[in-house]
Amino acid sequence: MKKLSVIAASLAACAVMAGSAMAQGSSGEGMKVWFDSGGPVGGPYNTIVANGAKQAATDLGCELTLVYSDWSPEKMIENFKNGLAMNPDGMVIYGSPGDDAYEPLVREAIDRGIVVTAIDTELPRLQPMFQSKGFGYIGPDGWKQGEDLAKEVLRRGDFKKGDRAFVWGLKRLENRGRRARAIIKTLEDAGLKVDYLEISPEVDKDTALGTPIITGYLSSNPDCKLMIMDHGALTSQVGNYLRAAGVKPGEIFTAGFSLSPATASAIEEGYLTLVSEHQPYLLGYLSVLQVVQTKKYGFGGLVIDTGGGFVSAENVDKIAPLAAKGIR
Amino acid sequence: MRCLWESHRRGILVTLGLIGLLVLFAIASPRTFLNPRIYRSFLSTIPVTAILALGMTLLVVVGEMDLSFPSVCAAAAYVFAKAFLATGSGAVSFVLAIASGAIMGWINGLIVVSIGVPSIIATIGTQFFWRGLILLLSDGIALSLASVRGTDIYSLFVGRMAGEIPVQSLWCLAIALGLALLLNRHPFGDSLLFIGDNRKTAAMMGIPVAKVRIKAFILMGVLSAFAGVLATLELANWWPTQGEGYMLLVFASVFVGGTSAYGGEGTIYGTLIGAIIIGIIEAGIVSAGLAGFWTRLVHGLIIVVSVSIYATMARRPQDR
Repeated sequence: MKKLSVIAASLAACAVMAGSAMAQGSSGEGMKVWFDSGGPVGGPYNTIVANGAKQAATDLGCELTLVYSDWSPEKMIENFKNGLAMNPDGMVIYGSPGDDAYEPLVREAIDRGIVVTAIDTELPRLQPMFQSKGFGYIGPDGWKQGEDLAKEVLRRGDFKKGDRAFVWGLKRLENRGRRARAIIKTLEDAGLKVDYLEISPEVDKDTALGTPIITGYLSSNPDCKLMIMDHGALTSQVGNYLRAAGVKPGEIFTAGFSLSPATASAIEEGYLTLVSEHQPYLLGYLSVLQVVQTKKYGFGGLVIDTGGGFVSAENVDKIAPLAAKGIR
Repeated sequence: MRCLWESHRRGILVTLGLIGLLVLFAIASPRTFLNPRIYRSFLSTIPVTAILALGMTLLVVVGEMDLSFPSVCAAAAYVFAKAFLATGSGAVSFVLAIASGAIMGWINGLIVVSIGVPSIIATIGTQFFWRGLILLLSDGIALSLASVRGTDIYSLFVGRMAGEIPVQSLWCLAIALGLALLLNRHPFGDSLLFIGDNRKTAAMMGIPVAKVRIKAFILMGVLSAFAGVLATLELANWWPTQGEGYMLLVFASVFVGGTSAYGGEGTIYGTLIGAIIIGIIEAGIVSAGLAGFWTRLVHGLIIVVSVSIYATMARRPQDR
């Protein structure tokens, strides 16, 4: 609730700023914002982030340059170096490469008067270091989001100590993997027996390849009561996985992250119980809004936690149409 | 017996490899591998890899490569999904998707054969081009095809025969049989093998080299489109990165199956068994209780061991 109030207040403040600026002309007029969308061209998650950034650029009247990094930290760094050469007014980055990799580059950008801010994955050392220069963070706290989902699952599900749970995640990605680690820790602290499986690069790109893996796991572990997919695309395919494994809707408590049209269908069909959504559209929108306002008025960096939204059968009908438009 | 071994030793070896792997998995995880459910699941997923690998086998046999198939797969499936959402007609959507696959394959063929760009380079270019085009058209947003479930096209291609057997596995078998006949019992297959073995000699023998090579690319385009439609129907969903996960699996299937990377030699049977081996590894490892990280190690081991055996077998005694 507190988090929502912070988001609402920030949005309202930004809207007021944008609104008053509109009265005098667009506040981002003539500004160039460089934006790393993080993932590949057409990736379901980063496309929503990019949609938010595009809308903000349209609303503010600034010029937006979108680049794609295929979730590769090396490519993010390379893109950033190329972006610096364009000398934009603001740059929006994903924190995945980490503080050490980004520090000299962010320092160089800020020394040159470019406003830099991070989204999706935090840069815990750089953020306070450069916050007064406009370096903020908009996105979920990975650990907290994982912990919140696991707690919500435990609250809604009827689990006992010793029940078996399956978690499918990406622990190999250091910052991104914190979400899976938080889920595992929370479930284990509650006494559940957790089986963790790392998502292979092939399944990461083509979710259909995960079907026999789930069938194999559930055949070997028919006592599994809970499945959590720490991956948006895999979450959307839970229905297909369970159908192939011969599991009926509602037999296993299933949870995951991020919305898409297929995820909404899985919830409607009853195969998917709970989805945590950190509102990726807002990552794009608010970060562009912030760098433009900072560049114009010298504000400090905003820190906004966008996590905390849950989608289930109770509210999916309102949210599904927005998922189809690439907004939720 | 010796004659059988001499003429089919690659096929026999790859079959023994598959049997060995299945026995190993059945010992490690009897609850999973002695239960029909896991095989039903394999029958629903392996056909996509296998169909792509079968098409690739013919191209490798003729001495070419197609790295654009993941994008062709996704682009044709996009055509299918959009057409189905617009018209509601499975038949029209299917015809359009296959036609688009054939056109994309034909364009690959023209660039390689008529313009003379090496196939690896040409198809890297078209891979980016087709993926870029569908991303522009789709705006990067997935399309849900929940309404396709229960339609005739769904039952025809990915339904469950007698409520149990995924129909796509039967389509895959039929395609494998057809391609095996084409490769071994048809002049087109002879032409592929001759061209793959020595293009100049094949031309001197009167084989229409350019036409045959273009046809092989068109066939790959058609099979990629079909695989894309199957994947889309099975999940009732089209997504923008569709096909990308199959790149390494398809080439691994082809080479584990015993097709020569130098062209002029290859078997459809070997590729089919190779696709099954590659398709069961991860599920087998996970069911056995090992961490998923083992998957890549085992994939790599199987590929290196199998191609090393084939390379050793291919060497003449005087070369050793």
